[in-house]
Amino acid sequence: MNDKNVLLRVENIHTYLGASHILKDVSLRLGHGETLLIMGRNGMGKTTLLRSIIGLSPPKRGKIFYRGSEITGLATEIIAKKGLALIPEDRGIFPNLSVYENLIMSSRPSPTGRRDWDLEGIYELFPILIMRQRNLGNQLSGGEQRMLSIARVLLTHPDLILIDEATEALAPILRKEVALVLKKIKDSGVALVIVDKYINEWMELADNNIILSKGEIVFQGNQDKLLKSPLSLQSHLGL
Amino acid sequence: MELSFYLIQLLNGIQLGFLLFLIASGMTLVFGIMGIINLAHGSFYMVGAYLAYWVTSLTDNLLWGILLALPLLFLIGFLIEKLAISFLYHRDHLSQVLLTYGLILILSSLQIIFWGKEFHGIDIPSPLNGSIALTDHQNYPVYRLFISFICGLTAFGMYFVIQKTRLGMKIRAGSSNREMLRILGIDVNKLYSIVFSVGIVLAGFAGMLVFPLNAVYPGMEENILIMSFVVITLGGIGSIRGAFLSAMMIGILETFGGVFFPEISSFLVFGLMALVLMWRPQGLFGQFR
Ligand SMILES: Nc1ncnc2c1ncn2[C@@H]1O[C@H](COP(=O)(O)OP(=O)(O)OP(=O)(O)O)[C@@H](O)[C@H]1O
Ligand SMILES: [Mg+2]
Repeated sequence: MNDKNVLLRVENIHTYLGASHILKDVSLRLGHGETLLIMGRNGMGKTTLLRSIIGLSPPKRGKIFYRGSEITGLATEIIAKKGLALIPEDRGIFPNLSVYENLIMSSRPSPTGRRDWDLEGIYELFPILIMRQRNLGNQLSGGEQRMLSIARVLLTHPDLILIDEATEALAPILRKEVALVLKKIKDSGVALVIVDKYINEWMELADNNIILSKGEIVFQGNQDKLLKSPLSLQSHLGL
Repeated sequence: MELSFYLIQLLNGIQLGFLLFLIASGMTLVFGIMGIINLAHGSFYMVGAYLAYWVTSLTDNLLWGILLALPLLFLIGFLIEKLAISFLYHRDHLSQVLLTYGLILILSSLQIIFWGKEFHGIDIPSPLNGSIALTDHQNYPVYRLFISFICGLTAFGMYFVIQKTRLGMKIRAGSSNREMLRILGIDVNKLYSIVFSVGIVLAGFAGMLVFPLNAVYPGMEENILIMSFVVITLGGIGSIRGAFLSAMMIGILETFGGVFFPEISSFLVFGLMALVLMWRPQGLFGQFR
C-alpha cells in the first residue's frame, strides 16, 4: 500500500487507562474503502484501540494519521468532523430524542461536500426505522438501536466507520442483517473497522484481520493466512 | 369582592409566572445539561435591568435601551462562561456554589459602584403607558399586558428552538450523553457556551421588561434569586416544561397569597414546594439520573 492510498495509519501507539498500560505498540494501516476486522477475547483492548483512534482515549506515545495528516491528540469532535465515525459498544442512542431526531441531529455532508445519503435512502436501507420514527430512543429494541446507530453515522457522511461489537447480543438473523447492511456500506466506498466476536459473518467482507491479545497485535493478515494459522484462532479467540 | 379584582390578581400572577419562567428556564437548562449550579443566575435579572436602564437613559428610548442591552448581556454571559464557568465543568458542586456565590457579590458590588444606591426609573413610553378598563372603576395597565405578551412570545420561541430545531435536539441530547455528542462531531463546549449565554440573556430580558414598571434599585434581584430556585426544583431540574408549569403556579400563588395572606405568603410558596417534593422528590417533570 503506498502512502496515497492509506486512509488511516496507526503508528506504534501506547495507550494508558489510569495507570494501566492497555495498548502496547499497536500499528496498523487501512486503505480507502477497505474493511479491517479486529478480534480478540474480552478485555484485550479492542474498544480502547477504537477510542484511541477517535481521540477519546488518546495514546501517550505513538502517532495516528488520517488522510496523511496527524490527528493524535486532537479533540474527538474535530477528528469526527474529518470524516471518522465511531459506533460505540452501547450504541449511544439518545434516549430522550425520537428516532427521527436521533437521525437528523448530527447529519451533515462529508468534509469534501459529499451528500450520498438522505433520509429517504436511509429508510430504504433500514425499513425497520420507518415505523419507529416517532418513538423515543429508549423505546427501541437492541436490534433497532443497532440499525439506528449505523443509520445515524451514515448521515454524517464519514469515510471511515469504526464499529464496536457489531453484532453482540443479536439473534443470528439480525447478525446477518447487520452484515448485509455493512456490506452495502462498504460497496458505497466507506472504509470499515469492525470489532466483533462472531467472525464468521465477516469472513467475506474483511480485507484484513487483526487479533489483539493483552493490548498487542498477535496476528495480522488476510483470511487465507488467518485460516492457515489455527493456532492464533484457537489460542486467541477460543475457536 | 368583585370578579374583576380576581381577574386582576390572576393577570398579575400570570405576568409574574412568565417572568419567573424566563429566569428559571436558562437556569434549569444550565443545571440539567451542563451540570452547573449557577447561584448567580438570578443576578442577571438585575444586570439586565440596569443595562437597559443605562442605555435607555443614554438614548432616551426604551426600545433602543432593550435592543442594545440584549447583545451586551450576551457578550457578558459569553465572557463569564469562558473566563469562569468553563473551569467548573469537571469540578464538584461545592466549587460551583462557591464561585457563583462570589459572582453574586461581585455583580451587586459592581451595581452599586456604577449606579449607586438610589432608585432609578423611567417613564413608560406611550402607547404602552395607558390602561384599559376592566369594569367601570377597575383599570389594568397596558404595560403589564405587554410584558405578558412579550414573555409569552419568548417562551414560545424557546419551545420552538428546543423542540423543533437541530440546536434544540443537540441541547436535549447533551443532557443524556455528552461523549456521544462529541463522537458525532458536535462541539460540546460551544453548545455549553451558547446555552449559558442565552440563559443569561433570558434572565436579563425579564429584568429589562420589568424595570420601567418598578424602577431599578439595589437588591431588586434578591427575591428573584430565591424564587427561581424554587421554580426549577419544583418543576424538575433540566425540564423546560416543568419550569413553565411551576413558574406559573408560583407566580399565581405568590400573587394571591400576597393579597389574601400577606403574613404567610412566602411560606405558601415554600410549602407548595415541600409538598410536591414529598410526593415527587425529582420535581414535577424531573428525571432521576
Ligand atoms: N478505566 C480503566 N482503567 C484501567 N483499566 C481499564 C479501564 N477501562 C478498561 N480497562 C481495562 O482495559 C483493558 C482493555 O479494555 P477494552 O474495553 O479495550 O477491551 P475489549 O477488548 O474491548 O473488551 P470487550 O471484548 O469486553 O469489550 C481491559 O483489561 C480492562 O479491564
Ligand atoms: Mg470492548
